[in-house]
Amino acid sequence: MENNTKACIAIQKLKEGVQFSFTGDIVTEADFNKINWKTGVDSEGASIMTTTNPHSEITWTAVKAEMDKL
Amino acid sequence: MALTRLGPNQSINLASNVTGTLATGNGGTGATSFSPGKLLQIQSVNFTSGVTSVTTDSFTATEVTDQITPSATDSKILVIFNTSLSQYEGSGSGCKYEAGIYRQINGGGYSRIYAGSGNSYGGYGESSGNTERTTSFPTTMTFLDTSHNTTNAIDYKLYLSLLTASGQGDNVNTGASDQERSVTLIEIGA
Repeated sequence: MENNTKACIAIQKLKEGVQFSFTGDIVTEADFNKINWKTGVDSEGASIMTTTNPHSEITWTAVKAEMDKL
Repeated sequence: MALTRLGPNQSINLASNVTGTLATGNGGTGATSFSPGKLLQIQSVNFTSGVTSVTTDSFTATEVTDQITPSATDSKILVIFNTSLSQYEGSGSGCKYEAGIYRQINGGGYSRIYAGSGNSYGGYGESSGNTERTTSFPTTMTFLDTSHNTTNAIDYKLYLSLLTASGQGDNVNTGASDQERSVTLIEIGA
């Protein structure tokens, strides 16, 4: 399984339905901190994203632990 | 045809004093006038690492982008995206995504120019479902931009979204295993 898919599965196990995007692999906490989290939709139908993680239950430690199980 | 012998310090005005046709047999074109080509410039880029993964149900920007600065406001830009979009689904009824081309002029923000919502999607659905699966399909998007009306820099970017109406999948990626992706922008004169 690809690293990026592992990261997606791990995050969605921690919080089902959470929406995000990232470019490249999630291997380190620095990579995790570059994830874009969806906060809304603009008038063009495009996602409004932020790198400020609004989900307190989704931490790098928790994501890494879930990824290691896969 | 009248001929004039030039003196040592005389010159010919090419704009007004030269007419006629140079035959192809003598190295000419055989034409009495010149029409410049319509292909004004080509810009292209390849991506070989760092695919973008998207889990949103609305269009989200990816890394697949390129910029061109048109030489004329009335030119056309042929926009070509080549990717191999991949998806993962842990369970459920298939993998489907939407793809769109967004344009930004002079850094003024992106807006979708192709395609209309629900008009550009790929993937597949399953009636039995509930099995883990991955997919990867060659995906080419082509669009002729006839409305840029600018000589400022234009960015074109690929946006992706899960197709939530049916069999959305868990995520859609601009490629599996960093598969090569490319953008080609061709400016064509009016």
